[in-house]
Amino acid sequence: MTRPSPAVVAVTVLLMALAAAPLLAAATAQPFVLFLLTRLMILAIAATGLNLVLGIGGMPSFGHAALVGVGAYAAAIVALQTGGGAWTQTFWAVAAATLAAFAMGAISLRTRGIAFILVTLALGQMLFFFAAALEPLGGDDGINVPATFAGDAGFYYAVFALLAAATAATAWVRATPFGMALRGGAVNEDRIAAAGIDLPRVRLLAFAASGAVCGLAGALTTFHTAFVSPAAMGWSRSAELVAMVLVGGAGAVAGPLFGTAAFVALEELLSGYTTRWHLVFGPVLVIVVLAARGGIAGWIDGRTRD
Amino acid sequence: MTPLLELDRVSAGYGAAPVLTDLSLSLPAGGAMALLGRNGMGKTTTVRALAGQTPWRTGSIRFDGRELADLPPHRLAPLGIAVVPEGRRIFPTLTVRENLTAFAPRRTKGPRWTPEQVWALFPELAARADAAGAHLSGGEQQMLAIGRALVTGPRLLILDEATEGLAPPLRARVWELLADLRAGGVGLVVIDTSLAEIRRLCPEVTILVRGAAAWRGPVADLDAATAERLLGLPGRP
Repeated sequence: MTRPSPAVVAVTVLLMALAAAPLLAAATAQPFVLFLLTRLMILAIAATGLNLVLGIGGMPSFGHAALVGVGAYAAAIVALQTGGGAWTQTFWAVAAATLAAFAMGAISLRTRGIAFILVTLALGQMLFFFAAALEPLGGDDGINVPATFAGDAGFYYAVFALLAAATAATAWVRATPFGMALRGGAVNEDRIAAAGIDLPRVRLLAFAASGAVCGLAGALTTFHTAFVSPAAMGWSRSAELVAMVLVGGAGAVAGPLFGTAAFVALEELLSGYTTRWHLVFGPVLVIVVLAARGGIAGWIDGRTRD
Repeated sequence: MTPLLELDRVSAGYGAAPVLTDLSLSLPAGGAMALLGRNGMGKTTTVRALAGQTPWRTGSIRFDGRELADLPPHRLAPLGIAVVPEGRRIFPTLTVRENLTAFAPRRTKGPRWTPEQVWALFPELAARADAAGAHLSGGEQQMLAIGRALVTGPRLLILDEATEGLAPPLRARVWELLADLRAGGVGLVVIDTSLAEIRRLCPEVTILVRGAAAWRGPVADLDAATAERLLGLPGRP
């Protein structure tokens, strides 16, 4: 058995801190912290979904925020139209996002490189404009959704458990033949085919699974904010998700959590000073990507270059 | 008896540039053939066509009597075709162990190697089982590329410069391995610059010049003058 890497230790510490946070928030009477951490964890789940495609599979999707949005809208529609509970909402959110991802993957995976980025971006924008055109759901402005969870600690722990499960699932998938085919395919498609593996099929399955995780994150967003709007679906949000994965360490198990934590922390710190906090986040992203190609996870592991 | 591999007037190329013109080859089951030629004569294109990576325009390639033209590349490994490609092309982000297990076949018709057998063959690799492919030396990468072909259980093993850049003792082990594989019934197509070893291993030789077979025949008939003329190599070491 090999020793756990420093990044694995760090992510475990981070998860333990997240688990202990509600106690700390209660002791210090800072409920806002919990709201923020819940948001962080939901974003980290979405980034974990994207990491499967982008980090492990080497497929740079710029349409994943739209998949999160599909999940968020599906949960909202179920709540508004049928009054369905959390389980029903979650089920339909995951189902709808999986289906959307399957379609997005089936089209975009015919292309490579820049074309792949553009096709995922275009398909994501289509979903964005579709949501913006949904007048009964508020169109551009979005719509309030009946609150399923009233910001209680139970919801916090549910999100926490899902994030921990998604992180563990990433570790597991990476080591399966499926994960190895994805990782190998990111480097050399021909050689994966030479192993007798149908790489396009593996990638499509990964894309759909990634959509399922993002759909889950979407449902959680709807639960968390009791509100849906197309604003969360646009390509710039997709690019933020990509940035979180890259900063955290593309392909690393702990990458999405590190990247999201860095993103949310910088956003909180900097937005106190200026609304143009992206001006600072941009250079930070560039520095991290240039200095440590393995992102934060790679940097913690002492691996700056492959 | 059906040949293991049969190329019948195959033409292939990249874009408008033809590389192979009307190339015909035949390899009996368990046979070993050397594919020789100077740089740019079409050896690697032949390998790529056999691996389904370069589509051929005319002619046919049959493996065990089965036409390969309609098969996608990932259907070739289960038939028992394995390639050790030029330049190794191992997966740099996968560990040595993962490089082998990722290639462990779902189904195959050939005698299949386990990673343990590969470790026994190349103890140097076993010692580095958890190292990333990118961190291996050239020789270790070459061993891994060979091991990776073996775990797919090949009936036909195609080696494109598999001994290039190896230290002499390791090179000798690879030739020994190939002789053993051949004795076990695995068909071999070997591209290599070591004519001395090829003379020992391969009864049949085909020399490519500008994408066509300029010379073919039993290795014993390959005289020094021909080798010198077509390969720029001295015929005897």
